[in-house]
Amino acid sequence: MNNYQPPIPPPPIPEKVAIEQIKVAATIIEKIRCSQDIQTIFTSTTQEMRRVLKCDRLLIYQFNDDWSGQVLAESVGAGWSSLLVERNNYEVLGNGHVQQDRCLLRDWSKGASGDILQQDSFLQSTQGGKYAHGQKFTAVEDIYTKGFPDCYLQALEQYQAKAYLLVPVFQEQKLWGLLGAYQNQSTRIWSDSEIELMRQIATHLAVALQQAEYINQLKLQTRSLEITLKELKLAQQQLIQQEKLAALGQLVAGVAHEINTPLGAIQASAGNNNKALIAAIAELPKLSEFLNSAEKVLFFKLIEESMSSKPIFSSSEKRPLKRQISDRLKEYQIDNARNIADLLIDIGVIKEIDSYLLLLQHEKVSWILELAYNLTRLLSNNKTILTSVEKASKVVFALKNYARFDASEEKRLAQVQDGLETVLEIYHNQLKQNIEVIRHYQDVPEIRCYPDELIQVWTNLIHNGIQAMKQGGTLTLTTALENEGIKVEVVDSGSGIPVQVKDKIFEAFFTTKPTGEGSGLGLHISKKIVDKHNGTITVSSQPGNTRFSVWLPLSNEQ
Amino acid sequence: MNSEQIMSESAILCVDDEVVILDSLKEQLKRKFGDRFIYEVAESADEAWEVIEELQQDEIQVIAIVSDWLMPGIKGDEFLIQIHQRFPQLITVMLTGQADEEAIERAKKQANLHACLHKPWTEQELTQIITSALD
Repeated sequence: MNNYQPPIPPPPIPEKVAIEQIKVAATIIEKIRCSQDIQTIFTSTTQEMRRVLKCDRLLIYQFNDDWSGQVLAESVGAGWSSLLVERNNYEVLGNGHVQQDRCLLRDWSKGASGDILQQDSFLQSTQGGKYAHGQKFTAVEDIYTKGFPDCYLQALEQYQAKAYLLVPVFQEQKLWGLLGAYQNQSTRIWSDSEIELMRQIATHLAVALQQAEYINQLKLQTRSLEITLKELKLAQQQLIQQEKLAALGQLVAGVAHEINTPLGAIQASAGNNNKALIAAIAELPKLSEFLNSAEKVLFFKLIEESMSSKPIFSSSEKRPLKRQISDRLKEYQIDNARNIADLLIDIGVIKEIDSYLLLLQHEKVSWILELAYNLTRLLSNNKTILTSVEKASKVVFALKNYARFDASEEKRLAQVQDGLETVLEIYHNQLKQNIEVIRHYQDVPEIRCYPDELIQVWTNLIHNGIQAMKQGGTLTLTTALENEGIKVEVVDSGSGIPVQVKDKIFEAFFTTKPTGEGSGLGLHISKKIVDKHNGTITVSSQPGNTRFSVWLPLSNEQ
Repeated sequence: MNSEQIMSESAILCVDDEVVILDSLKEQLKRKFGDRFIYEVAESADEAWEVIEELQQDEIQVIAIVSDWLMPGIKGDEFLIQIHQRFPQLITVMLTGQADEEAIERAKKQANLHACLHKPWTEQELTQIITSALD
């Protein structure tokens, strides 16, 4: 092992070599500048440097946090074993290297005459030893003349080195690693220019490392921002959905009433019809027995008139009528005038009572009117059933329109008034309490839009209007053509929006409603939806007149 | 005057803003109780007061009111409370399409609510409520 060979004297540095070194330095620096991939920089740096220094091995070594470390890049001359390949191929051997590296590194940290028998913690406590404290390099021309202990010599023999030159690489203030050149064939005296070149390159590697670190941080930040953005979009979707569900929850009660009312009418009418039909079938055969032919003709005329009469009187109109008829019947000395008048009105006979005197003064008047009542109620109850079914399906349809919210909904042609009507239908119950709805609908064309999302806008505006008019008022809806677009206005006669909050109403989570009544997202979402249609939403408010104006362009090709 | 005549001078009043409901209620009551009562309907609480007024002028006593809960103007429970304050003997029944428990509770306490009918109700429920109240 100790076959000593005299060290190679530092070769005189001809100008050519110096120029070559400057050129190589420039090349490497250029590569460092151009490449973003740190491994490429390491590889080309080790190759170029070994070539210019004409050494047997050139490597870049990185410290770990515990001051162990590993070879990251290596250029090695033909015939010499590669530390990189060995380490990567043999895990066990690799661990051995780490141990020996430590032995090696302890010394580096102390310089050529350093105490390599220090505890393992030495580098940790000194945080990189002399390099960290300013030592710029270690040049060893012959490892066997330095009095290195066996441990270290073994490590160096592992590197097959007889001479070496080490310079530290810093990342910011921290000793990151080492750039090492090794002479294996023989000992070597390192020239000042070689040392200077190594130091220069190490400095540039440090810059490259810093850049790589920045790029890495940037990539991590970008990635984290992308994730945040995704999460925010998801959260936004959920909030929109929640807002919708909250509004829906408030509506469910009203909608239940809206559906149960026609259901009640249907159930009652069907039951009443059962009774009417059974009674009518039972009594009809007696018709000829009780009535003569003239009376029969009059009876069917009454039925006929009742069935063809369409006037739907309100209860307040019926009452004076009933009184009139009742008084008339009393004039004819007809008993039970009030009940007969009531029955006649229910049958649908309201005029020319006198023409039915023959029947009304008949001894079987109760029987006659009851049969007429049963026969005619069949028809009116059926009408009730039909209109109630229609009413219930209208509510269900509106609800379906309302509840549908598809984020992937595609634009389609739709009439904005349909959306407004859907919302009015949904809020029918709340509106009918004490709010008068006035519609000023101009004949406007259909527009390409997201109809379901626009329904959400109308819902928010109308709902806010209703809430602003708890004591009653007028809700005015207007649609009109304006500036190549459709203007929709929702005006309420409520107390108005205070000046100090007017600018905030489109902000997310801004609400003047008590907790639980509003999320403060309604108008914010509305604005987002209008923006998506390239439209505008504005508000003007004074007590008794709060006007939300939405303008949507007619042609909307985005 | 026999008892039948006295009875026919009492009225049952139905209050709902939907005409189809009023028609249905009236027909059900009429089919069940016939000439035993006079049946009146009103489309709002205000109209109901008018009807009561008119009937009083005719010396007809309203013995029962079946009122919807959700109506324009005043809610059924408030209306029945007002009715109860003026006519403590009057039987109050609430008809509702949605269970607003608070309103029902309030009506029970302050309007001596006899029963609450839920839409869609059955003829049997309605007539039983009236029958049980009169017995």
